Amino acid sequence: MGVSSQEFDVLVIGGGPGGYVAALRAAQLQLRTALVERESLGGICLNWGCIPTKALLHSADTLRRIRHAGAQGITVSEPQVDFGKVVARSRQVSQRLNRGVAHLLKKAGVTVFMGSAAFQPGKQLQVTDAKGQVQTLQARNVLIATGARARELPMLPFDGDRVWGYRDALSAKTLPKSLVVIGAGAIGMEFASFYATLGTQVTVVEAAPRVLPASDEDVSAFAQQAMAKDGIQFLTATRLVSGKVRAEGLQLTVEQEGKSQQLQAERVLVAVGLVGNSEGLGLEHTRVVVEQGLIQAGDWGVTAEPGIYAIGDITGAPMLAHKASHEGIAAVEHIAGLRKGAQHHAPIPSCVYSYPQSAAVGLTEAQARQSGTPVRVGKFPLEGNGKAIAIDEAAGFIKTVFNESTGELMGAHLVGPEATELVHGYTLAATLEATEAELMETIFPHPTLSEAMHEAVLAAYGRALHI
Amino acid sequence: MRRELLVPKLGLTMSEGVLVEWMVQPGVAFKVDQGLFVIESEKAANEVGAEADGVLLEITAQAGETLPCGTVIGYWDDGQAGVGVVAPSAAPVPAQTAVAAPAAGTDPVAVKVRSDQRVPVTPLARRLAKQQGVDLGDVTGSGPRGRIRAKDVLSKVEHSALAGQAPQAKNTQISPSVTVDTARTAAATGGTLRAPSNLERTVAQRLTSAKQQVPHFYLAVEAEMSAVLALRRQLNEAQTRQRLTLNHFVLAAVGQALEAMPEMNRVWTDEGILSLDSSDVGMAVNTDKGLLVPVLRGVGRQSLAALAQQAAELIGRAQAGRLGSTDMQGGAITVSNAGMHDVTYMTSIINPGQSMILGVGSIRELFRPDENGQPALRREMGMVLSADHRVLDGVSGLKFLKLVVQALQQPMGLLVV
Repeated sequence: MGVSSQEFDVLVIGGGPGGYVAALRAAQLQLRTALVERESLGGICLNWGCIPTKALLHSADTLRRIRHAGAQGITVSEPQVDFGKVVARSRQVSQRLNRGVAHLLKKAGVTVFMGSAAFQPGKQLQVTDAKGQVQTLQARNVLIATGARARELPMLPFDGDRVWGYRDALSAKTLPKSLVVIGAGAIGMEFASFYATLGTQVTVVEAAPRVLPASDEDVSAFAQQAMAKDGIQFLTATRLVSGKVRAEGLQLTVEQEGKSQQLQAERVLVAVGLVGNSEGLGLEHTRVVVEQGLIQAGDWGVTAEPGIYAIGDITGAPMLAHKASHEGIAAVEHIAGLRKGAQHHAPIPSCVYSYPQSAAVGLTEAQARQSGTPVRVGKFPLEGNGKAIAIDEAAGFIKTVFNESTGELMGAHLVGPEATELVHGYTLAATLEATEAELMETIFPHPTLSEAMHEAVLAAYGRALHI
Repeated sequence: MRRELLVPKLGLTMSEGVLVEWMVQPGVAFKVDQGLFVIESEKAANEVGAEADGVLLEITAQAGETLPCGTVIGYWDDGQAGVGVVAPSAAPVPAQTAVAAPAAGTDPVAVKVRSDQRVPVTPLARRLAKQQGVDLGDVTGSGPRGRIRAKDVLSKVEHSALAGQAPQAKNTQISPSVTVDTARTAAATGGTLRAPSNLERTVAQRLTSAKQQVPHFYLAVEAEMSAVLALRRQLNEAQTRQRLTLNHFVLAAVGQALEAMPEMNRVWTDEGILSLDSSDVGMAVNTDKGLLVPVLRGVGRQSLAALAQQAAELIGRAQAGRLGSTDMQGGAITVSNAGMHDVTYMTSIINPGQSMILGVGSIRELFRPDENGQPALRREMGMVLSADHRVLDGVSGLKFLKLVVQALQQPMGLLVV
């Protein structure tokens, strides 16, 4: 067992979108930077989350377009899906980006340690690699960015075969005939959409009264209706009571409004949220406070232990890659002394890449109304948007929520084609604190889907034109 | 024409004030009624507005100074032709340059350039500033390159609003002996240390000064409230126009006691003992901006219904943050009712400028022996009178308190004014 000791200005634990981006920024700021990763650079996002699911969903989109090609005057024979290739391409995308992150870190001069890090008494860090080799590292500042993993249901533990977590759903060998998805959040809805498009009989079970419970209610309703039309069965306000894994498949008992129901499926995907990766870090040797698996962190990621910072999923919701990256950069800039005082919390957009896509920034209409502020709400259907009709994607809408007295954009909600690519427009507006006046004054290019964003603003003030 | 800015006399008992802040910098033009500076009297911090459009020429007193009423604190130009007052010989030149922004001096032209510099402001912040009447020149931007964001404007508004309505006492330094070495404490315990806001500092100083400088004495009694409870129920059943609360009865009882013992209605001032003519009673109101004490007028000569109406109106304005400084002036006594918070006795600090405060507790059901020695159910409410021993004594205080108890135990008398 070799022992070496090195000292760094910033040591990042976790090479996901929070950690590796923070390390790049730290290196940019001339800080001696190290990064410890126990599995794959790029983290869940790049290897088992955001990116590979987008590759799968892209295959599903292509399939859907081919199926609808006839309506656009193109005759094609019945498309055949090579499921193995679909999954393989998704894995290749991840591998390519994983190598890209390694290259970026190397170019920036970040020292990467592959292994698991744990605090020792006296603020030293021990890194144990896969072969059991131990190294002791010293750092002035440690940034914990260890992320989160799928929450397991005690009655239905992951087995990698019948009971899937998202990793299994991303690397399936064969297309299941039937799939029950437990949880209608972003992850559940994206996989439901993917598998249903490829031909799996999908049933989604959600304990909340509606799908995408964090989304605006109108968006939830629209997404559920649209996906139900595509053949997905939804059971909302429904609890999983028990699950039995049998040789021939799964038998699940669910309960809706006191009534029990049996569901049979080849596989089940459990997507009921995430838990923080706070174990095994030796945090008991520090003053860092952990509650329910999440590190309690304040502005700039500061924890109860000076010199230890935490950012991203490990600090709690919303668990989003872009939030982690943003927090990582802010923490490093704070460490470098560039940023002080209270941290400004910019609005965080959220995206769901199912079909239809949805995206949002800020408060839902209900949340805005609950805040007691008088609001103005504008809604514009994509049936009124020329580009949406031209590309045969006119289902969906955009909704804006304004503070009536100040014109502050409190929230924006999009559902429909490229919603995830459009939401940044509203995010930028909210970050720059544009009011309805600036949004109305902005010239949106014609013909684009983004014109519907303009119309949704006008609609809030009774001035929509194409409706 | 060059004109003077003076420390105003904002209340009967005000002899001096603390200049809390300048809201306008020298060289900057202002509009009529625009806030120029904030003066803190014993009772409240008050924003003093411009009497006409003009330009602030110079300031001769700094924020934080305690100044007698009538002191010249600066000069402004009203834009009218005419012979102005001469520059004050008393105002030392170094003070002027020290107060004005660095490199600005007192040359209005030079300052103009500074004030014309483009301050980056978000559209929302600009609109909020306009709506709330905030001068963007007074706001420090927290965004990139000092850009002023909406929250910067809002925190300015909040700060001004708080400073205008906080419960007040005379400005005195907290004696070093009673402060704790917080830096060391924080280091030892691992807690976090933060600087108090100006408002928190002011409130702390005032409470400390009230508690330290006013010789408080305390008298505690219980009132049997069954009769009031029964009467209140009857009255509220008989009419729905104005719901009566227990606090209305307590306020009325205090008002009647003041009418019966006018010698209690007096306060200590630096000029002498001031006897008040009207049975005014302050009423502590909990708001999200802190505890405010609007004063009800002529309580002892009002019907219960009129009193309830006046109280409702003041509570409404207190909670909306729309109390004027006159709403909080006057009165020798405040009623602070904590009955809803499940407390038996509350010993309060006298509201600065007054001489008494009645802390009212919750009603407790308990058995006491009646005249035959048998247990009898009673509904008792604890009351603690804190009084200023400079103007009141224990005997008169007890007599006063007994009148209040009597009025509550035979509440029919409260209906006949």
